Formats: sequence, C-alpha cells, structure tokens
Amino acid sequence: MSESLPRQPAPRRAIGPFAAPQRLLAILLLAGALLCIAADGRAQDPFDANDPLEDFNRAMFEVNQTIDRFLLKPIAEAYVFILPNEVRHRIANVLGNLAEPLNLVNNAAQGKFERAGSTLMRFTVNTTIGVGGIFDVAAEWGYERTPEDFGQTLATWGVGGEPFLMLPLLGPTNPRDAAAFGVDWFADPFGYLLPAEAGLARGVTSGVSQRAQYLEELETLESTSVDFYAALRELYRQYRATEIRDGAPPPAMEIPDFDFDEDFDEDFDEE
Amino acid sequence: MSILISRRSLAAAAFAAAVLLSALGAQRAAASDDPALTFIQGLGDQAISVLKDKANTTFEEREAAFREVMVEGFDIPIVSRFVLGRYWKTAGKEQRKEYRRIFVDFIVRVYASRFDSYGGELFTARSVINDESGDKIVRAQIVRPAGGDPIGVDFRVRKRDEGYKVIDVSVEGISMLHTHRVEFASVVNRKGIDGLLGDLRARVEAPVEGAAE
Repeated sequence: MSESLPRQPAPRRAIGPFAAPQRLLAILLLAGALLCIAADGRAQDPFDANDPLEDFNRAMFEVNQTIDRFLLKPIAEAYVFILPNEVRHRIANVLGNLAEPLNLVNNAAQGKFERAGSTLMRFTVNTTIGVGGIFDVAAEWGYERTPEDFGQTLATWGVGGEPFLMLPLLGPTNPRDAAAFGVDWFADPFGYLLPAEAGLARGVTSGVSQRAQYLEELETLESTSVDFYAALRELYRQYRATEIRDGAPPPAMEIPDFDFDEDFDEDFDEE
Repeated sequence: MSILISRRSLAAAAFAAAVLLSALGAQRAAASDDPALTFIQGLGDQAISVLKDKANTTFEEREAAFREVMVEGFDIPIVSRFVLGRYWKTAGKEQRKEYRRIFVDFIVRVYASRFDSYGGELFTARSVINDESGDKIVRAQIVRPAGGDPIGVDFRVRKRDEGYKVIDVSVEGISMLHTHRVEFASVVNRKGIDGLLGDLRARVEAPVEGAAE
C-alpha cells in the first residue's frame, strides 16, 4: 500500500504544533539532568536493556500509544486512503527537500564534505529544476540523499546515546537526541523563513507523512512482539546506530557455538 | 466478484513480474561464485517463491512452507539459545524443551507475517564480507516492485558440516537476534521464564491479522 515512499529524515517537525518554546526548554532541562544519569548508569552486558527510566518510559509509551490510536494513526490512515501513492511520494520529497539545509550543516560538522557538497547540489537542483523539491531530479543525477541531524553529529563527536528516553509526542529518543532535536529546531533556516502558518502546516504534514510510512510495519511489530515497548526500544537504538554509521554494518557480535550435547536432547527437529 | 477477479489478474501479473525478476536476480548472483552468496540467494528465492503465491494458498499453507525454508536454512539451536541469553542457564530441562519448541513456531510466525505482505520483490545477494569472528556476512538487497528505496538485509552465515547456516539476519542494520534477545529478557525480568513461554504461546496461537489477503 504505502511502501513505495522514500524514507524521510527524522521527523524534526513532527511535533510542530505542540512544541511551544517552554516545552522545548523543559525537554532540554530534562535532557541535561538525564545526561548526569547517563554518566554512571552504563551496563556491561550489551544485551541488558540499560533502561534506568523504564517506569517513566513505559508510562509515556502508554500516553503515546493512546494519542496514536485516537489521533495520529487515524489521520495517517486517512492520508493514505485519500491521497494516491504518487502524491504522498511528492509530498515526502518536498518535506525532504526542506530538511536539506540541516543535512548540509550536519554533514559539514561531521567533516563529511563530499556529502555536504552533494547535499548542496541536491538542494539547488531540486529546489529549482525539481520545482521546490517535488521531483528528486538530483537523485537521478547520482546525488543521493544523505540525511544527518545534530544528534548524529554529536554522536560522531563522541556523545553517547544512553539512557533510552520515551518522550510524549517525540517518541523514542535519548537525552543526546532530544537536546539535538532542539538545536536543529532553532538552527533550521526554514523555521525563520516560512510564515507561521506554513511552518505549522509543514509540521503537521511531516508528522502525518512520517507516521503513514510506518503504518503496516508498526502494526505487524505490535502483533508479533511479546513486549512491544522493549521491541520498539531496541529497534530505535539499532536504527539510530545504523544512521550514525551511515548504513555500514554493525561491529561484529560474538555468537558462540554452544555445546548442545551437554544439556540438550535430540528431539528438537522432529515435528 | 469483480474485485475478486481483478485481484486475481493483479496477482497473476505480479507473479509474472516476480518470475522475471527472480530470473534476473539469479543471473546476477551467478556472477559471483562465493558459496555463501549462492546459499543466501537460494534461500531468498525460496522464501519469496513460497510467499508470493497468494492467489492459490492460505496463509497457513504459506507459513508451513516458509517454516521448512527457515528450519532448513537457519541454525535454530544456536539462534534460540542465543536469544534466551543468560536465562538459558537458569531454565529447567522442561522449560528449555518447551522454549525450543515454541521458539520455532514464534519465529516462523513473526517472519512469515512480516514478509507476507510482499509480492514480486527482487532479492539479490550482492556481496560477502569475512567477519572477524570467522562468520561470513552476506549483504543482500530487496527491491520492491512499487519502487522506493531498496531494503538492505545482512545475513550472518556460519559453515557447518552440512553446509552453510544462517545465524542472524539484520534488516537495515537491525539485528533479529539482538532485538529478540533484549525483548525476551525484558519479559523474563518481569514475568519469569514461564511468563515468557506463556506470552510466546499466546502470540503463536493468536489468529493472524491482516495476513489473509
């Protein structure tokens, strides 16, 4: 149904209509406080959840689930139902194009100058020849989208991504990414260039478009997981890590050969 | 009625496209002769061919066929034990046995339903990385017929006496083993091993939503 849309960068403006400056400030303060927790709360076993705020996070998850069930998801479903795939694709392109200035800055801040140059090329070509980003002409010319945000920049500067944090409306994140979200927010030139109504429209559309791309995936994940919260938390962490590595495979994980004869029996494969 | 017919012909068209595409994929894979690459290409083709015939099969039939592919291609003893992590040691003999049995059902259900919405995908095993652990990582791509970004899938394979076996699959960098291990640990922490077994059983026995097209 909705699978042919290009993946969008992180939903920076997804909470547009909700993020009053005070709330953002609160997030930043909370993030600052949490960074202190992050310092001493590191687990040794890489498979430990390392989720010191789990009770708070699970409560927030419930809140988000409720908002999603009654507001976000129905709107996203209507969006998919009303608009043809092609139109949604174009909308995602325009929103993606608006994110390019931040991609440029963050690529440069990470020393990825070739990608920064490519991003500049993309923005120039797509905004003009691609009619405001509706058509991704640059990709056809070989300039692929290279999404970067300030959270990824901080990560490459050595700031860790723990502990896990579930925030109302923002969803799964961590202190680093939540604070970086605020920085991106203020750094985004379109935040100043667009009139308030357009900014709002962009925020709402971006949230809906983003949610619409994961309709099936999230539904299947929920119906096939034994702990939806834990599954989502792990997916977020690994997804973020992959973004930070720019898609490179993760470092080797040791998966030992077990000696099964010692404590196991042969009747496994039957049936 | 007319909806049924158009769906059928749509399925027929998708099937034809899939056959064409998988033939192309097979050609491409033949270019490289790494046995691990060939193994993964074969496994992917098998899984896709099992899942794509939606017009003439029920989800249960597709799931059963998918199960055979998975049980054959994966090193399930290693996978299942790794996923239970340190709790394997604390589990009793009966719990282990039950866990092993229910784990296969669970994992088959999860991946059969996750991939059941697919149709006409082009699966291509593209390259092999020799991992420092001694395993091989086969990097593959799934291209959806509707367009959009291809999905990157990495298979970690290990050589066995009887040939290669998959021990982990990562989709867009997200490891199946890692994710299930953390998820299972979270359930065991709160409900104990029997609680996990109960939850897994409930998932397996629940009717499949949205899978019956």
